[in-house]
Amino acid sequence: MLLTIDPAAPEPLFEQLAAQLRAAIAAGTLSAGDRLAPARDVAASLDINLHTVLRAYQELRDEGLVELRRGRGATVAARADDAGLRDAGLRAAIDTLVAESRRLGLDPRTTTALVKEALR
Amino acid sequence: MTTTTRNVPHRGITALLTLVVPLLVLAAALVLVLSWRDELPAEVATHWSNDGVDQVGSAAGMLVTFSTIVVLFSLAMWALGTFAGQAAMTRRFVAGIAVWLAIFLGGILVVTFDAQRGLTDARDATGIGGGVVVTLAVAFAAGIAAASVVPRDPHRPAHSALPATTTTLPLDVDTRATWVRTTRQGHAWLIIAAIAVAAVGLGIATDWWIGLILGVGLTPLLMLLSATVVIDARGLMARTAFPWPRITVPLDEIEDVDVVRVDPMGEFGGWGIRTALDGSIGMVLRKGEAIEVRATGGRRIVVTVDDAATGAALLATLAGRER
Repeated sequence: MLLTIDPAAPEPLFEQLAAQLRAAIAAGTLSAGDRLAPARDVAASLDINLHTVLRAYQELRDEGLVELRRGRGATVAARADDAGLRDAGLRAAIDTLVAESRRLGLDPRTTTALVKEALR
Repeated sequence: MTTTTRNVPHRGITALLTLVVPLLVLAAALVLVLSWRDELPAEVATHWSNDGVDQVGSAAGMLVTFSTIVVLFSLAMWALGTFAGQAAMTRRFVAGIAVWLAIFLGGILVVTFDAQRGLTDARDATGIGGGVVVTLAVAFAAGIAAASVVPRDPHRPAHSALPATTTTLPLDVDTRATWVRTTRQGHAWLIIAAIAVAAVGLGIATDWWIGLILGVGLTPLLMLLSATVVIDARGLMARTAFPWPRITVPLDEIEDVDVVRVDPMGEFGGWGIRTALDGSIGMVLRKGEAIEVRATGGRRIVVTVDDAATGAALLATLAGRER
């Protein structure tokens, strides 16, 4: 799959990587059992630190979307397929949230902060 | 053909490794065998089966046959390396296999005749299994050595921009990107099991060393188990389940990138990492969509991979930045 990072962006690099992998799982491009590219290779390809990639993978493991095993590397977790990421109702609600916050002219940071607060 | 020929580098080394070395090896084997001619039986053993020698024939006939094979094969490898050797991988392949065959067949001659020195009836000759296995091991080692001394491709940067029609991705110039695609064979274990069963079965049915040779000979099939294509700021890299041989193309040597459909059998004569007769190199594991790269020096590289469009577009985008 395609992975990009923008070193000039304010978002940390590991978060940029994790966001793309999450989106790929949500879109079904990555599904349960698929192996993620070895962290070492991704780090070499993007010319970033190995630990940055590992941190992105660990982030996804903590969310239960990825399994990390010694020797086997990172694979998409079995439960990722029905973790709700692809739920139509959730997608529709998100679309509504985005449309509303755009209509109100809210800064994306404000919207995400509100969502984070609400999720606490 | 003229353009192609002009772009093939290191032709002297190709001639050295595909003609000079193999023919010297053959000559050495012939000289050694001929020095034993007074010690050999009138008719020599030319073939062994389970129970010992099962065919005898003239020594001269065997020497002529083996020599002809080595000479013709060396010439064919030299021609391929000289007229279709734009890519270093091809030149390594022809050098390695020419040296391998000369040592293997030369060694078989030496081992066969050595086992019959001092005999009056060739049918008394002992088995040559051990000698064959040693010969094969030496031939492999020398073939790999020959392939590894072949110089890599010289750095040949492209001077023109990629054609304007090439599809690219809308990426900021500061954005770093990589595209990795690994294809795995679902029935990997079946292939491994089939190889093991065939090797052990043949080893038991005939002789241990025949099984060993079959097992070693079929090992390259394992490389078809998976294939990885990586596109990043270093260029294109394609490899199979084995780390080597691999195909690499640096970004600044790329002239054009396309998505094509390829027929491995028709164009490359089979599957795997291969060279076509026109000097194209490819990692072709199935019929269908592939990334096609044209690089400086008349090189053409074809790599079969799913979602080739994304890979090709990223490669074109990154290559375009280098100009």
